[in-house]
Amino acid sequence: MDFEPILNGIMLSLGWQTLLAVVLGVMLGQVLGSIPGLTAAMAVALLIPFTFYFDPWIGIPMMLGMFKGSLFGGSLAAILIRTPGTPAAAATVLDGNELARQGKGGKAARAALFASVTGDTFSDICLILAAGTLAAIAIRFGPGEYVLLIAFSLFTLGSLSGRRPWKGLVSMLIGVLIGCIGLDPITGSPRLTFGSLELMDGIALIPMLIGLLAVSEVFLQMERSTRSLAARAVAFSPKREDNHLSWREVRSLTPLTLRSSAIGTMIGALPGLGATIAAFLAYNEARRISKTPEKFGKGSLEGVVAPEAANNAVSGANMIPLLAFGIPGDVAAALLLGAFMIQGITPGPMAFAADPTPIYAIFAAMLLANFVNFGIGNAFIPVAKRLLVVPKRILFPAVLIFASAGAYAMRGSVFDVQLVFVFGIMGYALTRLGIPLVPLLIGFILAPILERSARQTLLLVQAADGWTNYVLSRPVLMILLAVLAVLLLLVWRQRRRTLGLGLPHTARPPGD
Amino acid sequence: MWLETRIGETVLLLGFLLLAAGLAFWVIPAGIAPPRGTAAVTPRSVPFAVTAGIGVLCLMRLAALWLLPARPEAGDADDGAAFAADEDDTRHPWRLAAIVALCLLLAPVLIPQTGFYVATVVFMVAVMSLLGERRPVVLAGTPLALAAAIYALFELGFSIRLPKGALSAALPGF
Repeated sequence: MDFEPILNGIMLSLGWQTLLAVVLGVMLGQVLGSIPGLTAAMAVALLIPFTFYFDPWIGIPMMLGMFKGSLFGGSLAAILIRTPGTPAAAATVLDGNELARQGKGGKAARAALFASVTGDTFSDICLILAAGTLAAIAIRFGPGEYVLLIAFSLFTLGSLSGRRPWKGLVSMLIGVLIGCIGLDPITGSPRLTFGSLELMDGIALIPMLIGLLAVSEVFLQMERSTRSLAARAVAFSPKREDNHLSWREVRSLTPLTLRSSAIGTMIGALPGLGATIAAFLAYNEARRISKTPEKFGKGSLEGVVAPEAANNAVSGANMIPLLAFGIPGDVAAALLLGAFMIQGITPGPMAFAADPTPIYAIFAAMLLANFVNFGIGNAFIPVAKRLLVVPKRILFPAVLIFASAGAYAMRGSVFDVQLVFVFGIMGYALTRLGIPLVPLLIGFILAPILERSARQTLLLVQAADGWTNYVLSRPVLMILLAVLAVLLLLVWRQRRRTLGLGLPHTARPPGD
Repeated sequence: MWLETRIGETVLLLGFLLLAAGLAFWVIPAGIAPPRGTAAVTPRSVPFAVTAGIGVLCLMRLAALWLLPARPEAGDADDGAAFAADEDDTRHPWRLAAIVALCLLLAPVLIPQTGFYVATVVFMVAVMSLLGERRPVVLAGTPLALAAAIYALFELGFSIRLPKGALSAALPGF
C-alpha cells in the first residue's frame, strides 16, 4: 500500500490555516445551528458560497467544520428550548428537554456533545475504511452500472422520504426535470430555456440549495406566529453535577453510544433512510435494552445519547456513496457536494484513482473537525442559552438578505438572487403539500449523470445486439444487480419496521 | 391536516396529473425543439419520461386510494403529538404573501434601481415592520448595521463588489 498520499493528505489538513478554518467553521456552525429557526442544513447552505473565496484546503475543512458544528448546535436548541434544529434532533427533545426542565440542561448538552462526537468519529472511521475499497470496485463501473446505481439511489431516496412514497418519487422526478434545463448534454440544443441566456448553463446548484433549504424554511416560519420561540428563558442549575458528566456516567454511556453509532452508520450508508429514522431507531433500541426503560421520556441520559450518536453517525456514513461513487445519498452529502463542486473537486472513484491526496486530506479534516467540535462545544454550552433568544423578526429578514448576497457573490448575477426566491417559494409550497425536498435536490444533482450514462448505455446495448447480451457480457453489472436487489429488500424491511416508531413531523424542516 | 385525508390527497394527485399533462403537451413541446433524424433518444426523451413517470405514479396512487380498502398507517395517530403542546399554530398567510412579494421585487427592481445596500435597508425595514417590529431604534439600527456588516464582509473581506444600482450611478461621487 502506498502511504505517501495518506501522509500528504494528513499534512495538508494539519496546516495552521486549515486548523483555523476548522475552528472558525465549527464556531459558526454551532452558533448558527443553535439559533432557533436556523436549521443545520439552512445554516450550511447560507455559508457555502463563501467557501468559494478560500483555497480548497481552507474552504472544504471550514465547510466540514460548519456542518459538524451546526448539527451539535441544532441539538442544543432541541435540548434547551424544545426546538430541534434538525429533524433528527426531534428524538433528542424527548429526554433532553425533560432534563433541561429539571435544570440539568448543561448535563444533557454535554451528553449530547459526547455522543455526537463519538458517533461522528465512529462513522468517519467506517467511511475511511469503506470508501477507498468501494471506489476501487467502482472504477470498473461502466455507464450501465452507473445507471443502475443512480436509479437505485433515486428510487430508494424518493420512495423512503416521508410517509407517502409517491410524494418522494414525484419530488425526485421534478428534480430530474429541473436538471434537464439548459443545453442537451449530447446534441447541445437548448432545453426548457425559453430563450433565456441565463438558463443556457442550466440552473446553478447553489441558488437552488439556498432557496430550497434556507429561504423556504424562513417562509414557513414567517407564516407562523413570531411569539412562540424568541422569548423563552433557559435556566441552568447552579450545581456542578447538574451541568457536567462524571467519568462514571461517561463509562456507563460508552457502550450504548458505540451501539447507536453502529446503527447510525449502517442506516447512513444507504440512501433514503436518513438521520431521523436512525435517531428514532437508536432511541427505541436504547429503551429496549435499558435496565431502566421507565426513565425514558422523563429525562434519561441514555435517551439523549442514543439518538445523538446515531444521527451524527449518519452524516459520516452518508459520505460513503458520495466519495466512493460520486452519488450523494442525503441532504448533508448534497451540501458537501455543492462545496466540493465550488472548489472544482469531483468526488467519485476517479478522484481516488487520479490523486487520492485530497480525499485523504478530507478524511483527516473530518476527524480533526470532530475534536475541535468537542473542544469548542464544551466551551459553547454556557453561552448557547443567550443565542436562543435572538428575535425572529430581526433574524429572518437578515437571513433573506444574507441569502441574496451569498447567491449574488457566486457568479455576480442578480438572476441567481431571483432564483433563490423562486426556489424558496417552490420549497415552501412543496413542504406545505407534504412533498419532501431532499429527493428533488438529489434528483436535480444526479439528472445530468443519469441522462449521460443512460444514453451511453443505450448505444452500448445497440452495439451488443440487445439487453441480454449486454448484461451477460458484464459480470460487474450482474453482481451489482443482485446486491442492489438484496439491499432494496433490506431497506424496505427496515422502513416497515421504523414506520411503527411514530416519528414526529411537526418540527420537521424542509430538508428532510 | 386536510391534505392527509382521502379527498385532500385526491385533489393533490389531480393537481400533479394536470401539471404532468401541461408539461407533456405544452411546456416540453414549446421548450425543446423537435428532434432531427431518427435517433432513438432525443433531447425530449428524458423530460417526456419524467412527466410520464409523474403521471403514472399519480394514477397508481389514485387507483390505490379509491379501489383498495383503506389501511390505517402506523405513526399517523400520534403524529406531532410530542410537540403539539408547545406550538403556536396561528398562521398569517397575508403577511407571508406581502413578504414574498417584496422578495420577488428585490432582485428585478430594488437591487438594480437602488443598489444592494439601499435595497437591504428598505427590505429589512419593510419585512421587520410586517413581522411586528415597532421599536424605531431597532427598525433603523438593524438594517444599517446589517448593511455595514455585509459591506465589511463582501467588499472589504472578499473584494466582491455588490451592485450599486441606477440610483447611485446617477449620484455624483459614486
